[in-house]
Amino acid sequence: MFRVAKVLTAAEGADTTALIDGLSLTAGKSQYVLRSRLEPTLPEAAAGGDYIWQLQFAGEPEYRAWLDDAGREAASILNDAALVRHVDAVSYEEGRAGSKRPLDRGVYRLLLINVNKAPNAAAVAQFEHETYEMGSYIPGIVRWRISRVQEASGARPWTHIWEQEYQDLDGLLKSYMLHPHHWGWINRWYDPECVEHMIDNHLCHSFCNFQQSVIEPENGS
Amino acid sequence: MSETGRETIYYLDHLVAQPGRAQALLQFYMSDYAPQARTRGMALVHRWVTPPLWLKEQSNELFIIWSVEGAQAWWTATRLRRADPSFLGFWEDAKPMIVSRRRLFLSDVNDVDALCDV
Repeated sequence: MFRVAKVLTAAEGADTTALIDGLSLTAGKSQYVLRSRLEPTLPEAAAGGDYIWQLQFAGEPEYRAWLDDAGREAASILNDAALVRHVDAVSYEEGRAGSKRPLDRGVYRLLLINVNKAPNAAAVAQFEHETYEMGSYIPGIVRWRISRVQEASGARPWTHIWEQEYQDLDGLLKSYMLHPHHWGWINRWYDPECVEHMIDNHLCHSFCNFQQSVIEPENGS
Repeated sequence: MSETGRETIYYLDHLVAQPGRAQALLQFYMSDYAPQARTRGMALVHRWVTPPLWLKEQSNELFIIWSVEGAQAWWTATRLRRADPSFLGFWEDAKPMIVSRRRLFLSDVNDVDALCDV
C-alpha cells in the first residue's frame, strides 16, 4: 500500500468545516483513494497541528493518478492561506509493521523524522530496526510501523514516518515516553550529546483519536 | 532498588583522553560542563579514572557518572539540555582533548523490572 500523511495547521479564523469537507471531498470522489481519514489532533498534541489527514492508495501509480485528478483540488485548498497556515506532509510506501492485537479504536500518533546526519546506510538501517523493536518492548504500543518517506514537504525534508496506535492516551504519554527503550536506548540517535546522534532536533509529532486502525502488520493480527 | 517511579537513572560519560590530556579534560569538564548539568537537575555521582594515575604519554579513560531520580526527571533534564546550545559548545571545544567518547544511560539491575513496567 502507498500512503500519504499530512499534519495541518489551520489559519487563524479559518472556516474549518469548509477545510474538512473540501479535503474529504477530494478523497471521497476519487476512484484512486482507498481510504481517507481526517481527524482533529488531541489537545495534548501541543505544536502538533490541528488535523491529521491520511490517505491510502493501492500503490504509487494510484497516488500519482489522484495527484493529477482530485489531488489538484486538495493542493488548492492546502495552499489557500485563508484556510491553512502550515502543512507537514509525507508520502510513503508502507514500511515494516507490527501488532500485538487488533485495535478498533484508540490513539494514533505519528512522528516525522529527518535523519540528516547519518554516517552511513548501516546506521540508518540500525535505527529503523531499533525503532521497529520499540513496538515489541514497550507495552503501551499496540500496533506500529516505521516507513521511509518518498516525498516530503513542510518544516523539514522528512525521511521517515514512525506511526503507533495505542489503546488510550496513557499508552503514549506514559508507557511510550517513560519506557527505558525510549530514553535509555533509541534516544541516542536523537540526542545531540550522544556520539550516535544523527537526527534533526526538529520533529513533527502529532496524535489524534481513531476509529479504525490504519496499520496492517506483517503478522496479520 | 529505588522507589517505584523514581528509580535512579545514571548517565555515564566514558571519555578516552588524548595522551597526557586527561587531567586537563577533567578540569575543563568540571568547570564548563558540570555547572550547567547541575542546573538541569543532574547530580554528579562519580568521577573515575583508569588507570589510577595520570599518564603522560598514553590515554587515561574517564568515567563520569551523573544521576537523576526517575524517567520524568530524565526528560526534564533532556529538554533543558536540548534547549541550551552551550552543552554542544562544550563537546565541540573539548574535542581536541578526546580520542573517543560515549554516553550511556544505566540503572541498577534491580530497577529494570520497575522501569519497564510502564
